[in-house]
Amino acid sequence: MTRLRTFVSRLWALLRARQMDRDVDDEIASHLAEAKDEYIRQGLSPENAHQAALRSFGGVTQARQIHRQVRSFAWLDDFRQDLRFTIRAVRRSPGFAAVAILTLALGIGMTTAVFSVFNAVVLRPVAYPNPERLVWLATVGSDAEPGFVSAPDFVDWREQAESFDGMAAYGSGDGTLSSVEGATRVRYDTVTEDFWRLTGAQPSFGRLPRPGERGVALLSDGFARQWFSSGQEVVGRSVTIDGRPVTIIGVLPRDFRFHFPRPAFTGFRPDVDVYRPLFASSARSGPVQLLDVVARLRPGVTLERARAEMETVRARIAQAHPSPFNNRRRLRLVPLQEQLMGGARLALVVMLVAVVFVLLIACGNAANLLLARASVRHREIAIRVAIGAGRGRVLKQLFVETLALATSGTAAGLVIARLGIEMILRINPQAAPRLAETNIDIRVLGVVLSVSVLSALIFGLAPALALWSVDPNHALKDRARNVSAGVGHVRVRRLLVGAELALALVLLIGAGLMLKSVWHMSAYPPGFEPGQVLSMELELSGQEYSQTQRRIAFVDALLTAVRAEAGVEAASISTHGSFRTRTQFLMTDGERPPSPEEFVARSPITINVTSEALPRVMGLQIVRGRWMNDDERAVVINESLARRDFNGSDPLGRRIRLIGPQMPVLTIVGIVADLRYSKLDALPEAEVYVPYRTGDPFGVFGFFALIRTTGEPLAVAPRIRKLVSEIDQTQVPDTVMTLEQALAESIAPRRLNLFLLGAFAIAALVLAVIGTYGVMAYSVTQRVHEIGIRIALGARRAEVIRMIVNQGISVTLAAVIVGLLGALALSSLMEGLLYGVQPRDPLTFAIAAVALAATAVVACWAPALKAAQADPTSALRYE
Amino acid sequence: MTPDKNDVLYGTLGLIVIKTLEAMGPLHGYRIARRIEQISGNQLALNQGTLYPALIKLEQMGWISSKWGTSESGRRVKIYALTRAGRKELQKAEAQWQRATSIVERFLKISENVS
Repeated sequence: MTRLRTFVSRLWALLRARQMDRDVDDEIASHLAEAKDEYIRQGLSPENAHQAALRSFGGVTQARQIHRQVRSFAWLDDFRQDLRFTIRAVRRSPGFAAVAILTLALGIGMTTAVFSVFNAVVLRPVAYPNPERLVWLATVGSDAEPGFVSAPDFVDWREQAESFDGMAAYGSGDGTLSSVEGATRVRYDTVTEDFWRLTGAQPSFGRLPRPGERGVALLSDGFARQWFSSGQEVVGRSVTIDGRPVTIIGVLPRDFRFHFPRPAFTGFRPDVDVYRPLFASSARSGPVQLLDVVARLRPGVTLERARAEMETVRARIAQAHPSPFNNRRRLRLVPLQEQLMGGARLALVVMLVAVVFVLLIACGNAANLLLARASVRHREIAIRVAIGAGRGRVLKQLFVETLALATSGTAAGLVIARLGIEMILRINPQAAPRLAETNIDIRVLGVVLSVSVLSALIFGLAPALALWSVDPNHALKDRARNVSAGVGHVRVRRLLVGAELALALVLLIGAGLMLKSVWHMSAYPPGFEPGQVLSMELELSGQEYSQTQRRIAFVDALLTAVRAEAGVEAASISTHGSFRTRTQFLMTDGERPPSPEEFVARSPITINVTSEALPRVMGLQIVRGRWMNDDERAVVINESLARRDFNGSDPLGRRIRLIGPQMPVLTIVGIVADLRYSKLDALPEAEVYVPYRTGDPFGVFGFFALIRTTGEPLAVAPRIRKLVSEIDQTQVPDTVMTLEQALAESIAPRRLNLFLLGAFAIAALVLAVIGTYGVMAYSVTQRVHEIGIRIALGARRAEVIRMIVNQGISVTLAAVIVGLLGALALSSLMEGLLYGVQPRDPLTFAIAAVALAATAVVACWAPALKAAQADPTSALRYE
Repeated sequence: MTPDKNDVLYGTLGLIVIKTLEAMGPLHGYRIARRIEQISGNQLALNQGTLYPALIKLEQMGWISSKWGTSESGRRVKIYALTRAGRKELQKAEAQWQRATSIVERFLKISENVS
């Protein structure tokens, strides 16, 4: 009780320190006056009485000092003093403070931005109940593939597995929703009942589907507002999705997000607009649905136990329904969070490392600035030590100064972080899962604060050490510019600059490798001009298009109409990258069908259902033979496929069947060069081109219309849209952009990585150059006297320049060597982010090293020039 | 100088101050200092300045209270008075002090007997 009271009154005393100081002064004055009166009464002269009063009082200053310490928190009082001192110092040299704060703000801001992204994508659990118990279940053929679960497997798993208290399957697709408002493309997810339990979703209007209820849908809040411009009234309305009647039974809350891993084929729409019930069929014959599955572990069940149980379940299924296909696939059961991050984690770890480098460089610069000031303040501190300040007290003061800088830097850094996050999100919110949810939350703030204190410790350490050994006797005897004292400082500062340059080099190399990767990806073969091609995704929806003839008729009408448009050079369709049809084998005529084992072992061949004009649209290089006509029973294969399936023998003229024996026999009439035209960072795939009038039996429901234009492709886009609605007004093009944009989007994560790493490298380079310049300029001003003597004794200016620059070059060279070694050690970390470039690509290393060295030399040059222009008379007079 | 090291000093001085206030009623700083000097027969050469840190500490503990008033000579002075908590504390401290000194006394007597 007493303790609390004391604490409160101490706090109170702290707040009204000025008032209390005045009170004590008044009290002491009265005390002295009373004492003086008494001494006078005792017969002393007023003069002597005053002296006697002071004597019996003891030290007035000490009493006041002790009073201040006793009544409040001594350390806080010191702190306040130090802070006041710091503010005074900042006012005296605002330039110094501004540079230090800006540098730190840049480092801390960038670190905060990247950590916020890392936090949103990697650290923050999904916003569903018990996120730590959610797991992802799939069967995979290889580690690289995302995996899936077949519907009958899912039904059996859900029934038999005991480790889970909920297991949901889901699928995803794009469709056309028609209502009285018109028709629009939507992304819908189909979800089984448990989905609602696992996500804990409760609609804000309406209700969830009842078990077994079909023909119903829930809308996302965003879609309900955007399309129906209302929430509540939409419940109960009837619409059609892809021609099937659907009743809207509910609208989900605004903050509900679909957080499960995205199915491999998602289209371009980022958010789910519509949720519909999914019913998994347990039938093992006929076409089988492939699903994505998420489950929640029962409390207390470990991943290992769940895995073990699932293996038993799978073994049981394998016994009951032998299937070579399933035997080949392995179970994958991982925490949902891990599956969600996917490859984004590696990229983010690399970015975090990179940004910490930038932060270190910023700290190096701040340390350098403080050191420069420390050598100026050498004498001031010597005096303070001489008149009795403890070294601890001096250090404390220095630390307060660095802390004040760090705090201001952090505040400014938070602003930079905010801008940085906005920029990252604007570039591409889809570049990583959940990237769009990036914000600065409590955890980020906590990390930022510790980072800033830590950085204050780091950059405050060097000057503190430099001042630790201040010998007042020595320092005070020295003249203001002492050469021997300066040497130690300059050495520390050069070390710092060297470290900065080395770190910057590592970043430059990293950015260079990324740049080369992206450059490799977008190095198009001659003739392929994606900037001239309009790409429009169409998915035919509605009952009538279940007939092959109707689909072919639609494509016929579309291509004829588009070709007739002004400004269109050529138009084709292509199913590559849209509706994927694949086969494992081209069965040459007369060959025996492959065994199931052989079938499973092969990587699939992409079947591109396309048309006559594709080579003209895409600039496809025909290597041998010729392209096919739309009506021909012929195919063209690419070089990868020719190499893979016809080792040595001539594929031309061979008669093949695609997929199965029921398919028509087609003749190979040509071979074209490989072309990557849907995903830039994928390896070229084996591909077979089939004319759409022949190939439609595969069911071409979705395709890209690729239109090569003479002018700007996007200019014709509105007319093409109109053409589509003239052919069939219920059909709506999905995405319309130039092929170049589509390709750029296919490597969005890599472009984001490039952007970030590039930004860090540039920031690092600029900071390191500023640091170099600062140190060189400082060492030149220190040596003005010496240089003046040299020039007076007849040294030529060129020699002076060389002398100074050489000094910089030795630091730079050492930095380049260390940086190269560092990059050699670290660049393999990036391997997964690179494309077509070795992590130790010598050319990139060389160019980055030369660029860094050149910039550093330029940074040395300016101070050297200034030194050479020194006027010997004024330099010598200058004290 | 950390406050902790002086706690004993302040403790003794504090006890003396409280006892003085109990005996004399409310007093201002100079009077307290003089009173202590008189009681101790000028044996305790008090640095009068050290009184004020002790006073603020006692006040923060809640054992004494202060308010501005005027001295006999009409000066504006802070007048300190014992609070109820201070009185209680004094009783406790006196008892403790008595016990402590009596123990020490006994030891001194024993050593006299032994020698």
